[in-house]
Amino acid sequence: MSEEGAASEPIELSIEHGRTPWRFWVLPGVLAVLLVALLATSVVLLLDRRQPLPEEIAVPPADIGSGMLGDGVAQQAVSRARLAARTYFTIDFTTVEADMDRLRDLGTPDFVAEYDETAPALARRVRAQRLRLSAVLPDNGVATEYLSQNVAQLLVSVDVTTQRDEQRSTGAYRTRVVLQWFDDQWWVAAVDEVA
Amino acid sequence: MASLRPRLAPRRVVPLLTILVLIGSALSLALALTRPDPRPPADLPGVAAGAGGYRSADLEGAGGPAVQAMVELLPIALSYDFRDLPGGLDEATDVMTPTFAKAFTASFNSSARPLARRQRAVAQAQVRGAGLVRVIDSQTVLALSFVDQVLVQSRTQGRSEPPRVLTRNRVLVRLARVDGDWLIANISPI
Repeated sequence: MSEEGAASEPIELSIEHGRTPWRFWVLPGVLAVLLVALLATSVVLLLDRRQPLPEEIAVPPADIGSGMLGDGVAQQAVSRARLAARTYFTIDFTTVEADMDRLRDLGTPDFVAEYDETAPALARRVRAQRLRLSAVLPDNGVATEYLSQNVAQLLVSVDVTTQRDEQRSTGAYRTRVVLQWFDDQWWVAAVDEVA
Repeated sequence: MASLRPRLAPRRVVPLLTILVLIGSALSLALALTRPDPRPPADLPGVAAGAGGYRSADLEGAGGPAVQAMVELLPIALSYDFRDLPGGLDEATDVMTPTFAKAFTASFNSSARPLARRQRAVAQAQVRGAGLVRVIDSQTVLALSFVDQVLVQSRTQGRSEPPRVLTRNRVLVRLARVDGDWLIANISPI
């Protein structure tokens, strides 16, 4: 028997007894885990598309200022846009995280992710400068720019007062709030300054 | 004694698993690439607007045509050119109700006209946002507009220089339907 043949003998013996060394199963194991992960991803993606996007159907805007703002989809859009704009511009250096969480609670996952990209820097600045920002919406300062059953876009005028120690200044802001309807309510998809 | 039962050997399993992983990868990729986009459509009003290129929405109901009219009328009403101030004022008052045209003319003559002459100014109004506040009745609508006053040319600004935004305004516009046409019945800043 050659030396080479002698070296392979233990392996042959182990195969004969039905046992494969564990290291031979590493690659199949990795492939199996990968396969399970891919199947799970596919299932999630399939379930995600089972709910088709609602059709874009225009809806008459709310009659803002009529004194009878009801609870219909159009009226809820106005209320949510007002709340979003006020919340967006209300930050106090003593309660920064809670203030920001209030806005996150109103937003879509995409909006929250986008907001979180800049939130830490904003929080640091507000704390460092000991800023207090408060927002007031002037009368008739909200208008419906676009409204369908699942998307709303509103213009919101906001007067923002910034207080730092004893100094106060108020600026007139123009914002555009985009809302998306799902889970039976409007969610904030964007708050943009119209500069 | 050797078993007759076929045994699972790694070298037999690996090709099969590799093929399944490739199929799974292709499936996941295809599903991800064809995933419906849940974001709002990109053609919302104002989103694709460039300088002076605001496009209003087709709002459902009585207020929709009034808001669209406001988008067309505001630039006519609020733009001026020092080389033809009377002509510009005529064009502006043509899109206003008679009562408001009178008040607007008085205000224009006392403030904008002397300033435009002195500065040799050409200014344009550019709508950046337009929406419905409320329908007061079938003939009267209150709308909100975000409108910029842009200085195109002046004594201190040459024609080659880019336009400069003078003011970023928020204005409430009352629109009235007169003989089937929407006209500006009032403009007030908020």
